[in-house]
Amino acid sequence: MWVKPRKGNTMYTLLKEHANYLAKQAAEFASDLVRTPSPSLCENSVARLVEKRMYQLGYDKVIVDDFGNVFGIIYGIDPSPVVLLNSHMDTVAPNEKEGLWEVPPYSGELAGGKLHGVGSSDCKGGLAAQIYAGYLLKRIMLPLRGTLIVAATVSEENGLSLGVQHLISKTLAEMNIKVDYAILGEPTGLGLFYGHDGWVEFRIGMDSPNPNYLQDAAKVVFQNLLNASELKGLPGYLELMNVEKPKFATESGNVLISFNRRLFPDDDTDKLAERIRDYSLQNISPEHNLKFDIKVREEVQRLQSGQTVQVRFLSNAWETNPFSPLMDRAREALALAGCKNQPGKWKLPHLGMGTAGSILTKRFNIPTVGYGPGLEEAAHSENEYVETDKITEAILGTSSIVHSLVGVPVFGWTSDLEI
Amino acid sequence: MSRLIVLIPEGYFIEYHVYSVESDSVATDGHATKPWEACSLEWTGKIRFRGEGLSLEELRKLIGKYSPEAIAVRILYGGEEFKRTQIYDRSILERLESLAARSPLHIPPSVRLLKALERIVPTPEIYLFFETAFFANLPLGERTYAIDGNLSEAYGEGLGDIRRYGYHGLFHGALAGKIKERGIDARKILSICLEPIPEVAGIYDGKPVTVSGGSTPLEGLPGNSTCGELDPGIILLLEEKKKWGPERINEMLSRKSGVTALVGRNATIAEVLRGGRDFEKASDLLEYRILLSCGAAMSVMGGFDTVAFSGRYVEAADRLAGRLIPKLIGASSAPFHPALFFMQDTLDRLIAESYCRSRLATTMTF
Amino acid sequence: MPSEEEILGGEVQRIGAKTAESSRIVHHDSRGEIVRRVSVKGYREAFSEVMKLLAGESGASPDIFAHRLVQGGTEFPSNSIIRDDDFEALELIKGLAPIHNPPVVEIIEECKRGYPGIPQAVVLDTAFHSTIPSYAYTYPIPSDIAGQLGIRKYGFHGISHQYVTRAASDYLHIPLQELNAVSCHLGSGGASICAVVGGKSVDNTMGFSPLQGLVMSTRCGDLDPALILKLIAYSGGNYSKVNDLLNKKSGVLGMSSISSDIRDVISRATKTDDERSQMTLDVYLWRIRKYMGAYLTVVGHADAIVFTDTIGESVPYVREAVCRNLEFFGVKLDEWKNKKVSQFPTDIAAKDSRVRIIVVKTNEELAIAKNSYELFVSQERDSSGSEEGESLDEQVDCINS
Repeated sequence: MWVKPRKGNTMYTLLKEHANYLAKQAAEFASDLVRTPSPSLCENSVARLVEKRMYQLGYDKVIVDDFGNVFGIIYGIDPSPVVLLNSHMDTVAPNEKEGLWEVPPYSGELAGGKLHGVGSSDCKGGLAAQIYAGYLLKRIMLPLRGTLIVAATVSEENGLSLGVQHLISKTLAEMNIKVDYAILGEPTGLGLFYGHDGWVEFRIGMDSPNPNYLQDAAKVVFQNLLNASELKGLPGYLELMNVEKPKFATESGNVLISFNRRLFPDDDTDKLAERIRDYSLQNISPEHNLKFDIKVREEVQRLQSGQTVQVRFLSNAWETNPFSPLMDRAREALALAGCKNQPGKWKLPHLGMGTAGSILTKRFNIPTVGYGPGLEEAAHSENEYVETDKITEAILGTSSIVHSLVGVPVFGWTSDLEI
Repeated sequence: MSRLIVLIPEGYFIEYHVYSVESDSVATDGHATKPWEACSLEWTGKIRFRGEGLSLEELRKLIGKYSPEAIAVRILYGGEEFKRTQIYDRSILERLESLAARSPLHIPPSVRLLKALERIVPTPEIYLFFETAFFANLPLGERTYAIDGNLSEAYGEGLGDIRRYGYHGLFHGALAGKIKERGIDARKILSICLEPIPEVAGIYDGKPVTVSGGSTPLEGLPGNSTCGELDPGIILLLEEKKKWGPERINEMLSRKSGVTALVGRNATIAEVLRGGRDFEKASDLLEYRILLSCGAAMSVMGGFDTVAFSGRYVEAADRLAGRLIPKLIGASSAPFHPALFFMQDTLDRLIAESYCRSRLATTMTF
Repeated sequence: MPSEEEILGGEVQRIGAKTAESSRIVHHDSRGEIVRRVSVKGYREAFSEVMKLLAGESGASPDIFAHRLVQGGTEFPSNSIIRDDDFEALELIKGLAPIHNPPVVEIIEECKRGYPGIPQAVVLDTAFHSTIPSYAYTYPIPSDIAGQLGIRKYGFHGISHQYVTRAASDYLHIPLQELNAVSCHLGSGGASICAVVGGKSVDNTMGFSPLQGLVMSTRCGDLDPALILKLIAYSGGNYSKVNDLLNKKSGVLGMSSISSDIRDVISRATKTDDERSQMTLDVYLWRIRKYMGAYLTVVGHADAIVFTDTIGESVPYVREAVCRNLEFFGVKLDEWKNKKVSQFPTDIAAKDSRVRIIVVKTNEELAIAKNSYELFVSQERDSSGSEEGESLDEQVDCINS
């Protein structure tokens, strides 16, 4: 549970000492979070825990907005720049077969250097680390020249960072706060991640006055799509995934086919839709007024706060320039603090995984990186866990990165400890 | 039994030194020649200062055990706000906090210490001793840098006050006082403080006129691990060629430079000054830099008549004195014998003596 | 050298200027000064214009080309005649002084191309300081970094300090190898002080770069390293903004905000009660005094203090202020002599001053010519065994910015 402190006489030694001291408390808090179920759209209980803890730790302000997001603010001597530390409070539901879990999914057990339970890696370990990183800076009284916001957001796992979107576009905007840098607590294994591929769920709807023709056409389209997902290396290979069997709505007589596809940074969803359309309609004679449309799946969802939102099942690929100032400062800060500082990208091993990064970078133009103690491979899987040592290192690393962005520089001062 | 506890916060420790300060107790070592020097050290130790609860309890125990009449706290940086020793009260806390951005490593722990002390009831009287206070009124030419004085507008408030300070004012000031009290005719003192970051000050008629420190302790003489004075062009070069950010450059200049860099391993000023084959390169450089600082002080003072050594490494000063002083005398147009003074007292002792002096001043009747 | 008279000289100004005014050559010789308009976009063109001009004058065709290099690095550690295989190394040193070196290298290459038979010499600003001992040129930073980037004190104005030291030695009739002096090159742009022992440089206030040391017209001189780091951090990592601040907007200009010339500040400070000018003057003089004392101590028994270059030669106020109150070192200035300096070199010390105070007019072009001549002569001596006696014309290249 201890990050081995290196002897020295500068600020980083102090940060390490304090991070080690806070390790136990942070791990226990993470355990509390895990023990409180919070599937997407039902985050209230966890939100209350977070609000209370931030208040106890002494954040300058603790606010719950109308979407259910909870965030704490630490002010500095200047209002900008503004750094946002963000982790989501919601988790996926534990992988169906509960028998597969060795430790009950909501046990939050701390054993063998690990915290077990659903959401431990994704993203409650990271949330605890970020909350304690902010507290560490406050406690060590290194003054800030800028503002630090630690935000626990709702409705991330159900696909589309609704909580974050509302936080930035409404809540913070109304407070006149413009975020300059964002750090996500998503699982990176303490790597410094600067992006990932995206995914999109398409729905093809078909209709025709002639039901027999429609059935045949549906079969052909389905087969075409299956071929597209299996025939690697062929020209026009579309890399589709999870192509579902056509569903027939007997009353209206139309057909629905759903499938997913990974999105790469250069992908254009509209052009992609065009290609899939052309591919699907191969070997179908264009007779009989066949209606064919292909759209990104959309749905209305209700949040726990009572509000309803229109959700689009699309997560864009995104990437922050790995040589941007944010990445540079973050790497340097981590290296100086003696933390792991390995740049990389999320692999998103399970379909449907994503982060708020695409929204933050593409919609709001906020440079974003990820740095969290969880492991991608453990997330969304049975026997999810996070190592408590990594939580401790994440506290140290995150506070170092934040200080390099909004801390008053500690240059020229050393403590008289003899090295 | 009247007691004083001297607290010296250092990084994540607080050193404490318990002194008995009875004016009628006589020091047994024959060292004391003045009544206020008759305070004696009873106990010394360290409190680890991380958890508020933890150190508050230990402080409470310490104060409960010794029931001091006063506590003295040494604070490194006081800026222009604190130009002399202060008796603590609430308003001082706010003024101190406003300095936090200028000395981000040292002010906040001092503030936390004072807040913790406030919670101990009854609170003994607290005296604040500032290392920079002695240098608060350095002459304009010495303390001003050759840059635009209004940079805070373009660069931000946290830039701090862009002026020179010394950071061992408690040593230099006490030294000047002791020399005067001993009746040594000294108007122009070269005061050499040998600490992890050494410091040379020129003291003219009891007031400092030059000092090697800068707007932070990093400027000046090379230390155990600090680089001392450096060509600004080097920093710009490191940024340009190595693409290092300022934090990284700071780590190198604060932790890996100084005599450590010259010797090639962790080393202290004391080892280097005592000499030896491994230390020749570092010793030559350090002595040369001290010589330059002394020469600079000599020109401002119009010469010198006393050379004085202090600091925790003062036992290593013998050899230095032997090599340095002939060169200092050699610069003079006429031969003469400067007075030589070695002050062995530790920082905590000097603080205790200063407290005693002021204590006696208020109780003595004439 | 056969004769030290400058036959003719001049300056090509506004090379490649983007302003409305065109480039021009300001040329003077025994007849007077002529200004010629030319169109030159680069240094090579400038050089060929000058050569054209010289071709038109009789007795002005050069026997040697002499070039002044600010920084030679390890490839050119000392003054030398350029050999054919040096041209690769010349390319390498461009980066060492990115403003000063490239134009010089360009012209050297142009000379070779156009006049392959004429020998070329490089004379370094840093050569005189190659005798600075290691405890003075080393910076206490990790040796791997220092080694990688060549970080050590190089010192500057070497050509000038060497020249005036020699002049002082001649004037005082003290053999050069016995002369101890503190040489103050106080220019209206850059300035540095040099400690001289036995005629050799042992320290210089400038260091790795010309940014260290004294307060200069727009340079800050000595500055707390942490302060520079703070400036970089607070400017969002904009190191070129900070570079610009420290090199071009600090010093006399930065402090006074009225002028980069100390003479203007002196006038303002002494004639009005403008506090800022007084403060600027105070700091400017204070820093020179401190180094004066430091180097007098380093040198030990100094024979002379030498003042040179624009401010050192022509501003009695500064000389008087920095020599005040230095009787301890045996320095006593004669105020009347100081004010009445009319010819150079001249001694302005009081009769009973142990240390003489000499004011010398620096002449870097002449110093470069002399150095080059000596190099050429010794090379000839080595190769042909006889000494050349003919009069030599030298084309001396100085890039001043």
